[in-house]
Amino acid sequence: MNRRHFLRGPGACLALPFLETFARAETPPTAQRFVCVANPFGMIADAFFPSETGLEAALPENLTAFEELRGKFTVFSNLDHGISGGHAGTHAFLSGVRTQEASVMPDGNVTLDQFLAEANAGKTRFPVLNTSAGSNRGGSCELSWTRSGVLVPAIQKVSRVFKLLFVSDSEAAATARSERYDRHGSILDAVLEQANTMQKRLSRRDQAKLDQYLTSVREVEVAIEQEKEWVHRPRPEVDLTEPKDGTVTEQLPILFDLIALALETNSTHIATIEVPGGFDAKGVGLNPKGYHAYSHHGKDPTLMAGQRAIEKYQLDHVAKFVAKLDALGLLDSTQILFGSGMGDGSAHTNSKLPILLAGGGHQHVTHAALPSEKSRRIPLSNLYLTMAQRFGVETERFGQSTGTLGEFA
Amino acid sequence: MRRLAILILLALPAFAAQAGSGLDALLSNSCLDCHDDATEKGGLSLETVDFEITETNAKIWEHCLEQVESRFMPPPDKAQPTDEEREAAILELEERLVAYHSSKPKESSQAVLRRLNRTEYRNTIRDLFQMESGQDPTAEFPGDQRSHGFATNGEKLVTSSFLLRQYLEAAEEVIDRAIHFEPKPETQVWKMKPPFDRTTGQEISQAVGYFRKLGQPQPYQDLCQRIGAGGAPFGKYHPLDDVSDSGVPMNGWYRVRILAEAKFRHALKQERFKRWPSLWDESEPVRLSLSTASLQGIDPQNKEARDYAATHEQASQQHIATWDLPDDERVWLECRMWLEKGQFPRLGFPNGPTNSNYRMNTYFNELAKDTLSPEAFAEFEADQKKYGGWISFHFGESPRVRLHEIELEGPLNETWPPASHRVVFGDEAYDASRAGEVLHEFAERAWRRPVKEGELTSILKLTEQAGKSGMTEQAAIQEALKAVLCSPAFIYREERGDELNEYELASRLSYFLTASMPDEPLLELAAGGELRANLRAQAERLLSSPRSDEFVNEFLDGWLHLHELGSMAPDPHRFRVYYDDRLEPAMRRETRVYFRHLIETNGPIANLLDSDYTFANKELAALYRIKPEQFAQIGEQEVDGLPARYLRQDGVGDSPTTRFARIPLTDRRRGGVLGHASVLTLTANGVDTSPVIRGVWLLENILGTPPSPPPPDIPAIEPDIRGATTIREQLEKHRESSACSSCHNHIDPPGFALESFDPIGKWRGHYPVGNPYPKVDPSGRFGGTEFPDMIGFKAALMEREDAFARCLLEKLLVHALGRDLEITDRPAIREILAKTKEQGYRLRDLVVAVVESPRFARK
Repeated sequence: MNRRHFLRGPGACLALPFLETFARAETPPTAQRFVCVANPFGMIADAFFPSETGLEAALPENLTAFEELRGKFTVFSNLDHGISGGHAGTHAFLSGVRTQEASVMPDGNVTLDQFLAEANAGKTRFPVLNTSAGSNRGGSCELSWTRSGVLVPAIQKVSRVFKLLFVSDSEAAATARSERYDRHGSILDAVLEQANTMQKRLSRRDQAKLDQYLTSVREVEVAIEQEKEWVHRPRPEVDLTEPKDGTVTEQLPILFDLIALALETNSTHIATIEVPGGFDAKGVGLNPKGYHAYSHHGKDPTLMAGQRAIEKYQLDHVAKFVAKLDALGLLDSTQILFGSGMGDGSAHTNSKLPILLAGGGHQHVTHAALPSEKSRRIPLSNLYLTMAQRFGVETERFGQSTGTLGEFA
Repeated sequence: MRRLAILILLALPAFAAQAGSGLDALLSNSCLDCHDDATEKGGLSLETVDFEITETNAKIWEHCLEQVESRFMPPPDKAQPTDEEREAAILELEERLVAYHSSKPKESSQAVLRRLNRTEYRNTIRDLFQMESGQDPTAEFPGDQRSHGFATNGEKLVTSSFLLRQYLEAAEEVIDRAIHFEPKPETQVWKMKPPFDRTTGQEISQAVGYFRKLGQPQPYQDLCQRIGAGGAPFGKYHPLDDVSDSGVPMNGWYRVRILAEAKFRHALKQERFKRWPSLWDESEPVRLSLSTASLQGIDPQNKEARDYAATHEQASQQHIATWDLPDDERVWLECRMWLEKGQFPRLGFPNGPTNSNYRMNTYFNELAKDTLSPEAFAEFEADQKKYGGWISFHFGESPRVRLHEIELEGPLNETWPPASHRVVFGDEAYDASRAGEVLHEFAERAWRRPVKEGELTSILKLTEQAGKSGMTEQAAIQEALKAVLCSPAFIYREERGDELNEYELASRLSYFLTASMPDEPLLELAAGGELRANLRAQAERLLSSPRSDEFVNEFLDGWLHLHELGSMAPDPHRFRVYYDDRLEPAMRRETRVYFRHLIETNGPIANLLDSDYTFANKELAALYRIKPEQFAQIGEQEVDGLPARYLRQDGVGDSPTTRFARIPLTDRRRGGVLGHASVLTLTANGVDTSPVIRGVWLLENILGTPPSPPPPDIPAIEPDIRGATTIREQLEKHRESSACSSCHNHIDPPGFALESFDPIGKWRGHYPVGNPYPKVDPSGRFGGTEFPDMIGFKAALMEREDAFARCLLEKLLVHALGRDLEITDRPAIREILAKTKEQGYRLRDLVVAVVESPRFARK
C-alpha cells in the first residue's frame, strides 16, 4: 500500500505560500475572509487619526472616502509592536515579531495571513494570495512570512494574478503537471529513506536540524496530494479579460478588483496587497519624485502635501474596495486590515502604527483610541489575535499578544 | 572563598596592587567608583559579584569583558587605565571565563548541520555538472536568513516545505539541462539584413527617409540613442527582429558576428541642448553592447507590450559584451553567447546621447543651415517639402553605431553529448545494467564523500519502479539523479564527531574559499587522508585561483553588508547619475577589486581603513571628483600583483575605455572602505543619511563592538528640514539625556565624520536643503581623540588597528565556521592575532591563519 494514502486525512497543516490545495466541494456561507493592505512608509498622523473618538468622530482628510462607511470600520490609535529599527522594523508589521527574535517565539514570525491560511488549508484553490501593485524599487513591505521564517514574495504583475486565478490549464498542461506531482512523490519516498538512515548517525542537535527536512518532506507530500485534486478542475469563469501590467497607480485599482473577484469566486479567502516603494507619484499628479523621498518630508510643506496625496490615494481605494465587498454581501465575513509597519515615515518610527480595520462583522466604532501610557499599552498582536479568533481559528496567542481586544476593549 | 574579595580590596587598596591580579587592580581603580552598591550606575554593581565565575554571574562578567575591551568603559570623561593595565585585566578575565566555559562545553560551540545556501547550491550545481552557463537554478528560492551579515550560519539556514518544493523543481530543471540522450541538434544560421530592428525611434525615421528619397532600403542601420535614454527602467535596446519573436529554439552556445563602425563621433553640438544637455562625451569612443532578452510570456497580440519589453531593461537580461568601435572603419565583431530557449540577442549604444527622437529632429532642422553646404541645404529644403520633416535624419549628423551585417549561428555543440552529460555517464552508451555504477559515481561527487553501504538502495529502487511504470531506461535513471540532488546528503553538509574527517574538512575548506563543492585535487587528498597535512598549501592554491572570487564576494556581502547595496535604491530623481552612469555595479566592483588586490598581494589590512589608492572606472572616478582627463592619463597601466581580468569589464568584447584603473588618491578622504561609495550608499537609505545608522554600522563591522539596541519608548528624532537645524544639532539634543548618551557618545562621532558623504557617497560640504544650505560639521571626539573631519577620524581609527584586526578576524571565523563565536574561541583568536601581527596583519595571512587554526578542523 502506498504510504502516502495515509497522509490524505483531514487536519493536516500546511505552511505553503500561495499553493493550490484541496477543497471541500462547496464553501459554507459562514466562510471567513481576510485581506491586508499595507505600505512601507506609514501615514502622516494628523491626516489619518481622527481627533475625536467614537462612532461619530469627524474624519480627517485622508479618510473622507470612508464617510459613507461609518459603522463598518474602525481606526485604532496607539497600537504597535513595541519594536524599533525604522525600515528594518517594518517587516514585523503583520507578525509582531522581527526575524531576529523569531527563533525564540513559539510560532516564529509567522504573519497573520499565513497563520490563517494554515487553518484554512484545503478550503480554496489558493490558501493565500500575496500580491503587490508593483516594484519594490525604493522600498518594500516584506509583508508576509511563513512559520519557518521564509519571506513570501508578492506577485507584482496583475496579469500574473489574473492568470493564476482565472485562466485554466490546457488538458495537456494539467496532465503534465499531474505526472510531475507523481514523480515528485516517488522522489520524496526515495529520499526519505536516505534521510532516515542519515538521521540515525547524527548528534541530537543535528537531528533536530534534519527534522526540519523530514517535516518538510511530509508537508510537501500532503500538499502534492491536495494539489492533484485541483489540477484537472477548471478555474471560475469571469467577465474580465487579462489586464495589462503597469505602474503602481495603474495596477492598484485592478488589483483590488481582482482580489474582490477572487474572494467572490472562493478562489481564495485570504489575500494581501502591498503598496510598494515603487509607487509612481506622477500617477497622482505629483512631481516625479520617489514615494520614499516624499515620505522623508522633514516637515517641508511641499513634500508633506505630496505625501498626503499619495496616502489619500491609497485610502480612497481601500474605501472603494470595502464598499464593493459590502455591495457583494461579503463585508461581514471579510476582515480588511489597512496599515503599515512604520508610524511616521519621516522620523522612521515603528510606534503608533496607522491601523484601520473594516468589515468582519465587528462592532465598529470609527475611532478607538487605546491607552498611550507606556504601562497600559496594548500590543497590536492583541488585535490580530482578536481577528484570528473571529476568523474561526481556535488559538489563545498570536505574535506578542497578551490577550484579545474583544470588541476593541 | 572570594566572595568578599572586592570589599576587602576596597578597604585595603594596597593589597590590590600587590596581588598580581590585573583584574583586581582595574576593578578597584576604574570600576567601583560608579559600579558599587551605593551608586550602581546603569543598574550594575560589581561590589558583590563573585570573582569565581558561576552560572549566575558569567553573563555579567562577559558583559564587563566586552565593555572594557571595546573601551566603552571606563567612560572617556573618567580616568583611563594604561593600555598595559587594561590588557592585563582583559587577559585575566578572559582566562577565567574560558576556563569556566571549557569545563562545561556547550552545544552551541559546535556548528550545527549546515544547509547549502543559495550561492553554494548554485555553484555546486555548476561544478557538479561543469555547466558554465544557463539560468540560475536558485532564482525562485527564498532568500537565506543572515546572521551578522553572513548567510552561512547553520541555525539560520532553515528548511521549509516551500524550499523543498523549490529543490524538487530545481532538480527537474537542472537534470533537464544537463542530460542529453537525444541526437545532436542541428545548427542553424541566421544571416540578417538591415533594418535589424523595426521598433520605433529615430533610427526608423532615418530608414524611412532614406527609402522615400532613394527608393531603396537603407543598406545599414544606425543606433543613435543611449541605453537609458528612456529613464528608469531603461529603454532603447535594439532587438534583432529575425529572432526576437520566438527567440532561439533551444538552449546553447551561439556565435554572433556583427559588422559595425562608429560614425559622426564629433558631430554633436552639445551647446544646442541648453536645458537638458545630452550625456554624450566625445572623448569616448562610440560603444556597442550586446545583451540578451526574451518575450516569453507576453501576449503575442499585444504589440505595444512586446515592443516595450524588447527595447527595455529586463530583470533576467544578461550583459554579454561591450566593444569600443573605431571611427569610420568597418570591423567584424565576434563572440560566443549562451542563449536560453526563447531568448534573443539585442544591441545597444551604452554611451550614446540621451536626446529623444523629437529633440534630434528639431536639432537637425535648426542646424541644417549652419552645418550643410549650400547645395546640400538647398536639397534638404526641397526634400523637406517633398517627404516631410523627418527627412532631416537623412541629412543630420550625430554620434551613432552603424550596423551593416549581423549573423547568428547555433547551437554550436562542438562536442555531443555536452560535458554535463558526459560527466555523469561517461562516453559509453547507457543502459539499465549500468544504473548502479552511474548512480554510485554521481552520488559520490554530489555528496562530496564516499557513499555508505546501502545508502543508495532506495534511490536505485526508484529507477526500477520508474522503469516498471513505463519510463525508458534513460528517463528512469534521471529520476534517480534528481533524487540524489534532493537528498539531505546533497542539501546539507554533514559533519560528525568533534574532529572533522578528511572529506568534511575538504568541504569546509572548499565552501569557505570558493562557496562550492571540493574540486578534484581536494577530493583526492581527502581520499588519501592527506588533506590535513596539506591544508595550508591547498588554501593558498584556492586563494590564487579565480574560484576564490566567490569567497571575496560572499565575505564582503557579509562583512560590509555589500549585499544590501541597491536594496534601498537611491531616489532616481535626486540621484540621477547613479542610474545614468550605472554606478551601482561599479561601486560593488570597486570594493571587490580592492579586497581582491589585497588578497593577491597579501597587503596589510590597514589599507582597508586608509590608503592612497582605490579602483574605479571613469564614471565612478568622476563621482570621486577625478576628471575624465585625469582618468585618461592613468590609462591602461598594469597593477602589480593583480591579474588583468579584474580590471576589464565583465563579459567578452573589447572595450579598453570601460576598464577599471588603480586611482592614486592625493587627499586621504577617500582611501579605505569607509570612502567607498558602495559602503556609503548601503549605509544610507537612498534619500538621506543618518550619522546613527552609519555610526552603528562602523561599530559593528569595523570595530566589532556593536552597541546595545536603544531602550524601548525613546522618542525618535523627527527630522525637520524647514529651519537650518542639522541632524547633528538634533542629535546633540538627544544626547543630553543620559539614557541616550552612553551609547550615542560612541555611535554618533564616526557617523558625523561620514556625514561629509551624501547618500551615494559623493563628497559634500553642505546639506542641500533649507535656505541657506547648512554646513556639514564632520568634527567629533573618538575615544579620547578630537578630530576635525574624515581625515582626522581615520587617523584616530588607525590607532585602533588591533581592534580592527580582531573584528575582521572574527568575521572571517563566523563566515568559515558557520556559527556564532563563543568565549571559548578567544584563545584561538588571540593566537591568530599574535601570529599575524608580527607581519603587520596581512590579509591573506589572516585568511590562511583561519584555515590553519585548530578551530577550523573542528565541528
